[in-house]
Amino acid sequence: MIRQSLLALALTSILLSGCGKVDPKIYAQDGPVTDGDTLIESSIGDAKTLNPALVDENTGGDIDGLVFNGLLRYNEKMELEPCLAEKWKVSKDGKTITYYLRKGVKFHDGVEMTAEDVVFTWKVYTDPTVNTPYGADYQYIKNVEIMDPYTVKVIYKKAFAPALTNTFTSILPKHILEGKDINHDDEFNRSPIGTGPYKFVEWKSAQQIVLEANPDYWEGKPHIHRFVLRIIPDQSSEFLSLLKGEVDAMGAWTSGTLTPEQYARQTDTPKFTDYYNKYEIDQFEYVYLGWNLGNPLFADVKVRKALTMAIDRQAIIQNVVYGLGSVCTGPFVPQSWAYNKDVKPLPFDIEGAKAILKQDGWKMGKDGVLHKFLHGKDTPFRFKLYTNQGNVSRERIVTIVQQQLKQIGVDCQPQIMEWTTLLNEYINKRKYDAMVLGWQFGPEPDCYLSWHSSQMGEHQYNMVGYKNKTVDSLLVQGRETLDPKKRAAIYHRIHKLLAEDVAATFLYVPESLPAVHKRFKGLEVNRNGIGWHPEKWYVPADQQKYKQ
Amino acid sequence: MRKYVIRRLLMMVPLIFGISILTFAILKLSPGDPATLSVALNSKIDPGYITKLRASFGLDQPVYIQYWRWLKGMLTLDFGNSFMDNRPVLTVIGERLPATFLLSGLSELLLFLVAVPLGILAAYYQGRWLDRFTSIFSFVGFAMPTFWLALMLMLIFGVQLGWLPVSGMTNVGTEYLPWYDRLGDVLQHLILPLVVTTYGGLASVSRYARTSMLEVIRQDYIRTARAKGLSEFQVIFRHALPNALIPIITLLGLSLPALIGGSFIIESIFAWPGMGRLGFEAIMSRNYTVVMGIGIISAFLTLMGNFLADIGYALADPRVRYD
Repeated sequence: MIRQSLLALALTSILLSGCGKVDPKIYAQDGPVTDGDTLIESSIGDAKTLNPALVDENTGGDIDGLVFNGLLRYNEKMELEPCLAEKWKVSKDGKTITYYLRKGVKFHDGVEMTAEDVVFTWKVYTDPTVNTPYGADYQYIKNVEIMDPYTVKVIYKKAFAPALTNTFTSILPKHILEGKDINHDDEFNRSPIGTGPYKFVEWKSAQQIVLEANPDYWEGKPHIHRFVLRIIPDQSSEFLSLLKGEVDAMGAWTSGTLTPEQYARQTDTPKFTDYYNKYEIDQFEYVYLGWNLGNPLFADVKVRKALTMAIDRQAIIQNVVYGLGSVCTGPFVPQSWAYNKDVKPLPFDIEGAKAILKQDGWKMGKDGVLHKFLHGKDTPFRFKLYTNQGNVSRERIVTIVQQQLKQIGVDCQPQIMEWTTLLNEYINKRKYDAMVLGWQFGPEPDCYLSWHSSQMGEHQYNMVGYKNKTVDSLLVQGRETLDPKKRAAIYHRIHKLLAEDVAATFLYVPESLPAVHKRFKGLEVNRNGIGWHPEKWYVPADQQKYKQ
Repeated sequence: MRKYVIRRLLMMVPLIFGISILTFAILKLSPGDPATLSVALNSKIDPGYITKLRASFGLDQPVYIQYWRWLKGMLTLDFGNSFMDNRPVLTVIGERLPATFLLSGLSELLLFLVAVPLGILAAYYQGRWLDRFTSIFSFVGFAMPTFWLALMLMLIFGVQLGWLPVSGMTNVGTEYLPWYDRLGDVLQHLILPLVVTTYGGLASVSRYARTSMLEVIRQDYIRTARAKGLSEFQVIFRHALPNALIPIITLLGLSLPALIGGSFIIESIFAWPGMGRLGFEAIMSRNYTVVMGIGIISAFLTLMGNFLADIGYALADPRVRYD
C-alpha cells in the first residue's frame, strides 16, 4: 500500500515538474518592442556608497552609470559624443572648454538640471574636505563660469587632454546636496538622485540594489521596467543562480563576468545554451609581471628581455584563461587609439634567452641555477615572485612562470599572500622582487601616474620604479596636447619605448565574458561592452518573465 | 549561590575590557588599514586621497588615542561608524543579525531535535546496525567539506530538479506579496543552507549525546530501576534520559556565541546576508569599528553563555554546588 502511494507520488511530481515550463525556443525569436520585465544581474561585491563623488569600487560605479549622466560620453567607436552637453567647444589654446547643456533634462525628483549643477559638481570634486578619490583630474581647472543657465565655461590652468573624458562624468544635483556634509550624507549616499535612465528604488545591504526606469529620461523612456543587482559573493554560486534562472545576466549593465573556466567548459549544456547568450568583449585591462627595477638582478634591460623571452605568453593565455585573451605588448590595449600596432611582442625563445644571459656573464651553477658575481658576491639568479591570494588566474600564472624560468636556470619562488599584507608590506614599501598584477583603466590612455618618474613614492603607482626622461616628457606632452592625431602619435611612441625598455613584462589582455538571457533584445555589442544604451533593451511581451 | 552569581557577573567587566584591548592590538598589528585598502591600486584614483581618508578616519592618530576614542564611545554604547560606508556599526550589525539568528537558531534547534535523539538511540542500541549507521552518517557529514556539499545540493536540488532556490534570502519581487507568501519564500530559501549547516554539526552533538547516554546506562541506579521491575520506557525516559541530558545543557549554553557567528563559507555560497560575511569582509578590509563591534558582542555572548551553562548545570544536577 505504502509502496504504491509512494510510486504514485513520485510519478505525479515528475509529471508536474514538466508542466508549466516555457519552451525555451521562443526566446530565440524576436518580437515587437514592449515595455516591462525586470533584468536581474549579479555582483560579487556590494557597493560601499552610491555617491559618484565618493565611489571607489566597481559595484557603486556601475550603479552610478545607470543613475547619473555626465556631460560627455563615449560612442560605439570610442569617440566622444554629447550626453548632458549637446555641444562642446574647445578653445584653440586648449585652456577653455565651453559646454552647451541640453535643455529640459530633469533630475529624478523633477528639478531641471542647469549650469548651476555643473559648477556645484566641480566644487564638490575639488573640496578638500570631501573624500573624493578623483580630485586629481579637477586640480587643473582654474575656474568654472556660468554664461547662462545652459552654458558653462571651464577654464584650465594648462591644456589638459584627459579633461574631456575624466571630468564631469556624473553631474550632481545642487538643490539636494548643497550645504550638506557629502562624506556622511547617508540619505543621498544611500539613495542617489541623478538624471540617468534608471532611478534608485532600494538598497538592502549585502542583498540587492533595485532601480526602476525613469519615465522622463531625456533619451527616451527605458523599456525594461526594473533592474535588480543581487549580491552573490561566490562565482560558482553566481553561475548556478544563472542556470537556475534566479539571475538573468552576468556583466550586462555591470562589470560582472563569467570566469574563463565557466565560459570554456560549462556553457555547452542545453541548460545554458537554450536560455543564454554569451559574449567575448575586449577589456581595458591587462595583466603584467612587474620587475622591481631597483633590484640589481633586473636593472639591465637585456636581462629583462631574456626573462620575457623565456616566458611563453601564449601558453599562459591557453592555460590560465582558456585562450580568452590576447598577448599584451605594452601599457595599452588593442581597442585603444593609443595602441601602437607596430610594436611586436618579444618572441618566445628559450635558446635566445639563454644566449643573452650567457653573454651577460651568467654561468650555470651546480645547483641548476645561473650564477654571476654581482658587487663582488656570488649571486644566484633567484628571486621571489609575489601575487595576491584568491585570484586564481594570477596564482596559476606564477606557477607557470616558475616552471618556464627554471628552463633557463632562473629560480623563481612563488609567494602568494593575502592582498592587504602584499599591498602594504611589499608593494607600497617596494620590498618585492617581482610581482604579477593587473591594471584596470578606462578608454582615456593618460598613464602619467603609472610610469612617470615622479610617481615612485610609497602609495604612488609607478611601482616598478621606471625612470626614462624621454617617456617622462612624452607623458606630460600627452596630457597637454589636445589634437587627437598628435596625441595618438605621442602615445604610440610611449608604447614603443615602454616595450623596448621592457618596463614590465606585459603578459596578456583578458576578455570580459558576459552572459545574458536570450529574452533580452535590443543589445548592441561594441567596444563599449554590451550594456551600452540600456534604455534601448526590451523583452517582447510573450517572453517577459516578471510582470510587476 | 547568590554570591557566586554576582561574582561571575562582575568578573565579566574586566574580561570584556581585556578582550577589547587584545582584539584592538591584534587588528592594529596586522598590516594595512581601511584607507589603503579602499584604494587598492585603482589607477584612476589620486594617491593623495589615502592621506585624506586616513585623517578623516582618525587613523593618523597614535594607537592609544584611537583606542581611547573607541572606548569613550563604547561607554555610551556608541560603537562608532563603519569605515566602509560611514554608517553606525550597530545599524550595520543590526541589518545582518536577524538573517544569522534565523539560520543559526533554526540550525541549533534542528541539531538538538535530531542529533540528540539520534545519539541516545545509538547508545541504547549500541553495537547494532542503528548505532553503526548513525556513526557513519555523522562522520561522513563531519568530514565532508561544507562548500562542496553546498554546491552539490545547489546543483541537484536547485538547478537540475529545480525544487529549491539557490541564492539569497528572498526572491526578487516578493516585497509586494502578503506576509504568508513572504514567509514561505524565506523558508524555501532556508532549506538548503539549513541542511548544510546542520549536517556538519550532527556528528559532534550526536556523539556527545551517545557517550553521555552510554555512561548513564551503565550506572547502578539503572540496574536498580530495572530490578525494581519498572517498564523499559520508565527506565529510559524517567531515569536515564534526564541524567544523560545534563551535559547537553552545557553544550547549549556554550553554543550561544555561535548564534551570531555565522559561517562565512555557507553565507558566501548561498549569498545569505549574515554576520559571517560581515565579520570576514570587515577583517579583510580592516574595518576596525565593525570588527571591534562584532568582537565585543561575541565576547559578551560567550561569557554569558558560559555563565548560563554553569548555572544550568548547577540547577540540573543537585550534586553540583558553587560557593
